[in-house]
Amino acid sequence: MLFANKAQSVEQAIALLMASFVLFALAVTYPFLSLNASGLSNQISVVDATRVLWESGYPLLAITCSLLILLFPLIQIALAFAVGLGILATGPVSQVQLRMNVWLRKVTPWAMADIFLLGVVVSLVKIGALAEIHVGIAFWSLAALIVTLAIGANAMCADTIWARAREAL
Amino acid sequence: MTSARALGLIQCRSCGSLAHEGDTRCPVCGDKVQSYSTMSLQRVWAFWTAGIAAYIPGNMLPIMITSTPQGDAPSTIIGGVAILMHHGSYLIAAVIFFASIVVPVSKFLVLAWLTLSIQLRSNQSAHTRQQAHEMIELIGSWSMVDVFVVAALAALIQLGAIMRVAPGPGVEFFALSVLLTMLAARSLDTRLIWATAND
Repeated sequence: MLFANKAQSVEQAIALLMASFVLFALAVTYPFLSLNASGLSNQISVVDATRVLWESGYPLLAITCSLLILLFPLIQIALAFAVGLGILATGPVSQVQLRMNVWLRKVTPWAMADIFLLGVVVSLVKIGALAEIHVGIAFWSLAALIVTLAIGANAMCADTIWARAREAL
Repeated sequence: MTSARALGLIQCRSCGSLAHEGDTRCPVCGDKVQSYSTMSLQRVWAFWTAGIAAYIPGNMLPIMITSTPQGDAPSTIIGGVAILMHHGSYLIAAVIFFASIVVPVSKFLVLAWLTLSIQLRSNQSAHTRQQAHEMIELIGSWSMVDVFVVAALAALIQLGAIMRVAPGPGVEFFALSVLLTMLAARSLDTRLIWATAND
């Protein structure tokens, strides 16, 4: 099968992408993990995970990780949202909408919020025996964000934009 | 099978529409279009070679250094897998082994196979080769997981004199290697698989 129309999918996708914006905001602002061991404690946010790389003398890696974990997923949500609105709207497809769909496809492989979450789960298992770990609001927000973004970005048929542009030619 | 190029057309890699020979932009989506050329394979080999060059120090150098009052303990990727196995975390050890060793090594091998098969005009199934390419594009970014493990542990484990974790020099090479192999996979123009299979 090459393509199939998905009924009602654009409205669902837009709702899920709006939820993704909110979850993204929570994931970057709230505490992500906290640790207690031998009377000492430490609490980190997602941003701290990239800042520690900078402070340890790896500025290029810190910038790269910030792009992969924070900026590219945010761009992916924003572009998918804009493309969804474009599909929902009737009337001619603008050049900007077409370019946004091109860039959505290009940025998606570089948005690695899901892989970051797997990395965090692995680290939790690694240190679970050594210390008491608490997962914060940001952890659950990121986990939920991965689900809403994956379903939201796939629920709509972004190629509808191409079909409409071809008809207009 | 007739190819688009034989009809004087170029297939757009973004939206799949057909542009005319001589067009620089796709008439539908506006992305750059170019008929396939073997330049794509040179780019694949360049990124591939650079990726292997970064993968070796990425595995040899420590990716993480744990400091305790007993001293500093550097650990490499494979060393980290061994420690996890020792603690009985077999599932997590398998995840790291798969993401950091199996995925990158199979990417290097599959990319070399695909590129050579085009250059040597192999008559292996084009369909199988297309699927192999889609597979390595899909799993490629998961190798970054170990880099994020190091970032999370280094941020979290800052307990003064008791225990501190710092990233090691290997992590930068390893991340570079993952990004370079992703670029290598994306540089391979899969239209070449079909073009050489058609002849």
